[in-house]
Amino acid sequence: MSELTATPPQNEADPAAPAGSRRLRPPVLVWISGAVAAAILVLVTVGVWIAPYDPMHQDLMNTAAGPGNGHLLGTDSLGRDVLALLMSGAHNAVIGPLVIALGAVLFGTTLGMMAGWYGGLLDTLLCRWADLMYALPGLLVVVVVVGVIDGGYWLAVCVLLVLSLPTAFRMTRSVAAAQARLPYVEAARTLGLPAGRIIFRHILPNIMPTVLATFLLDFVGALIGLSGLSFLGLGAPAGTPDWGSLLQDGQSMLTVNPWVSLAPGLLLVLTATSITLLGDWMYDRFTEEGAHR
Amino acid sequence: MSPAAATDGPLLSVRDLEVRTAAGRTLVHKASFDLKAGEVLGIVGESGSGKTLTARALVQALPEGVVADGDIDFDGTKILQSSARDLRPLRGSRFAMVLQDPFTALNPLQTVHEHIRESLDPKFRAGRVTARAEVERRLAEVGLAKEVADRYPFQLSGGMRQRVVIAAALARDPQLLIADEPTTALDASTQAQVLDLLRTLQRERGMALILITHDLRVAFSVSDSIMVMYSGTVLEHAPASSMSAAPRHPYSLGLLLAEPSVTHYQDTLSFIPGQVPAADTVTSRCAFADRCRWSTPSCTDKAPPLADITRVEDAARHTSACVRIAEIGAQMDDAMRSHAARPGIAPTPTTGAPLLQVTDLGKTYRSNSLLGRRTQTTVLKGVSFTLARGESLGLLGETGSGKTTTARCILGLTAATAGSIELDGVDITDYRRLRGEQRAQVRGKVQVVFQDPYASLNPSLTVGAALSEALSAGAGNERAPSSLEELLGLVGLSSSYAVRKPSALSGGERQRVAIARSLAVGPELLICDEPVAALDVSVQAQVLELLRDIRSRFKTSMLFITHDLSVARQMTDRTLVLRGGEVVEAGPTAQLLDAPEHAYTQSLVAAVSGHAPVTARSDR
Repeated sequence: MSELTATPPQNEADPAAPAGSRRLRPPVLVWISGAVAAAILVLVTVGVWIAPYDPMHQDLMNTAAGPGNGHLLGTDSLGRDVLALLMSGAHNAVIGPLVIALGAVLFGTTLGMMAGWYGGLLDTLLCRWADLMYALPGLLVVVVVVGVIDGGYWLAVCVLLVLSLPTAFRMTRSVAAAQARLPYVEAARTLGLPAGRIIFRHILPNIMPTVLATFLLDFVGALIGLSGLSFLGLGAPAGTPDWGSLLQDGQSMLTVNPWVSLAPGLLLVLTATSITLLGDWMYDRFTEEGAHR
Repeated sequence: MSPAAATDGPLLSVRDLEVRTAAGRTLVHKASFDLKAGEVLGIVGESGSGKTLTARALVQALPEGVVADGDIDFDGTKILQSSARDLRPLRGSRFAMVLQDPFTALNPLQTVHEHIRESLDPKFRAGRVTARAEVERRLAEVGLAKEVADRYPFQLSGGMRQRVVIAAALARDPQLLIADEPTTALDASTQAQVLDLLRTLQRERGMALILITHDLRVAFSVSDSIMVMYSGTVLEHAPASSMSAAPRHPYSLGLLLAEPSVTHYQDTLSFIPGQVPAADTVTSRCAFADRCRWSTPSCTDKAPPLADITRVEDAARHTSACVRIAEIGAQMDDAMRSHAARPGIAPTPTTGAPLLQVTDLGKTYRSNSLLGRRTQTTVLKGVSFTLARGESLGLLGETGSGKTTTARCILGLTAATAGSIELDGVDITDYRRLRGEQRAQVRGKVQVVFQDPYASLNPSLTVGAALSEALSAGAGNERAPSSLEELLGLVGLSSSYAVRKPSALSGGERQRVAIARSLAVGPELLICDEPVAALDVSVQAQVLELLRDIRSRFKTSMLFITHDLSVARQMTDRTLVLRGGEVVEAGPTAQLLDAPEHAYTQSLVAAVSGHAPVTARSDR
């Protein structure tokens, strides 16, 4: 039936479309999210240098104290400065999820594009594999694997990476398969271009919004997941500052200095929210542009 | 609400209608017209002319972010000054709308009965039995059997769905029906039937009808008067008979002449050069001046008013916005006359060595349902034909006839399940069996131009990047153009287009780029899959001329896939008529269209010449 859908008169209404949809999400929120993300990024890279104290320094005169005495957010049970722990802990909290999201998107997208492009047996096998992975109770697998092997932070990162693959795979597979049926891709096929060229030059740029959105969503998922593991004592090794383990430490002293738990919790929520909002906004922007092409 | 309009006053009166975006860009400028009860007005225009927005403004159905200004008087109601709440009781009962796409206009989860019942007058809607009877009566009115009431939209053909949409729109007997491109998404023979139905219903009820269309032929077949819009302005408003015989605006004339003839071959296809300007750039001048061969400085000084030029032969008021019409009228009449009196001589079919040989081609899709039951759908059955070197062969057929599948098999985009295809001595039935080098050779010999210019270019690549890629794929072929400039020149684009992205191009320009891409490898066979079906009339002829030019210059063979008889007439030497995956008739195009032998071809020809075949109520 597509053969007879002549002149697209819907275009006449086009000038109206963007104005309405853009107003839905005020850019103010996006600016704030951007600022938060940038601040976190600064902490990740130089947090340990700009922290007010060495995070491992113990102020034994002021253990488990509330804010005050030169400690803006107080100290934990060992007398370590909470603010310093937070600032230098950003590295552990964020680097792992970053690696997970990057890896998942890199491998997942490649597999997804191959499945979407070639179809057939390869597609069927990969999809069934993804189905199987979905059936696994993710966090439980990590807890068991990391707990049994006792591999620490990077093993947890690896396991989480593998567990995030199917989502990235499925997202890109569906959009890549949709692109592969479009006339411009078929025209590239009739020109006799090699598959790799078609996939990376023709399909990939046009599914970038989805890839980017997947990346940011994976990142947020991994941030929460990995901090959860640290909370359970399976993530960051003991003795290194990390938001998840700080959350755990502070539990027992909620009445003495609630900031030990509250601050890393708030930071996690803040980071996850702002990244999600940013990703959402970027996806809208890109697909909107796409619609106007 | 006042009772029915006084006998002589118009049912609908529009004065100085302006449609703007919220940001202030003009989309429709000073449209004024009247419509009497029981009259049919055709609003004709290309995409971007503002015809749809004008019609939507009439019923306060503008998209978000678009505002209308001016006076719209519908039987005593000031539409633009009324609130949505005030208008609600009028919707459906006083005016109703039918939209273009019958495939999305119906809720897939509701039966036909539910759709129509929902639109009925409350006095019928309430009772189960009365509602049922009324729905069946309404279905009968649009020529559908009462069994259809229990079906879901997906069980209906496009024509049947549009009939259901019409039945629902008419369920409360409105005085005014607005139909926005009601037949554009339908096949030609169905199109004729639906138009026929609209006309009959309109006459029986004495209902006013506004028909919005890009197709002058459609407008002529139904309308009493025709209003031509261009770039947001009304250029001419005339009785249909005057418009078809002697249009009084250069643009209307251009549209009429650009329509490729279905009855005879034309040596040169006339077209309107250039492109439609944005509406807000032409509010204080003649919108058409840039593309008009008669334009003088007086045309661009100020916006020309719609002046009354009614003559004795006009059946009703005739207005035109051309300030020079008194001077150029005679020349325009000459152009009309010479256009009609100049049937070219149809080219004699070429009898060269065969380039493409298709034998008993078949394609069957198999699918296994959940319960292991197998279903088979045969889309091609025993299709055989030979295409000579240098020949242009048409594949004519409606939706589902298998014409595109045939092309995809030849291009290796899908594999045939039976038969064989031979191109220049190489068996290409299955591209996967070809050796790499052989496959590359074949790919360089056959290329394709698709229908949809919006999807056939990669949105993220510039024109230059896309074409360079194609050129490098064709490197080494002596038929291939050697440089990007040369390639762009072939399709009539300057080299400045190389840096543009598809989003900055119009539909016609995109199609030119798509043609350039297919020429980049110097193909011997060019498959054109409905290359102009998605383009505006004034641009269609430009692209057809370009393809003719390419054919005569490179002696390229062409396989021309189309549903449009006039395109087949103008572009092909021989034509195959496909129906349900089988060839029903084949022969030299002129002969086939002048004296069709098969009943199906006859019905196709009849549908275009304006008479819906009485026997062809094939919708069941």
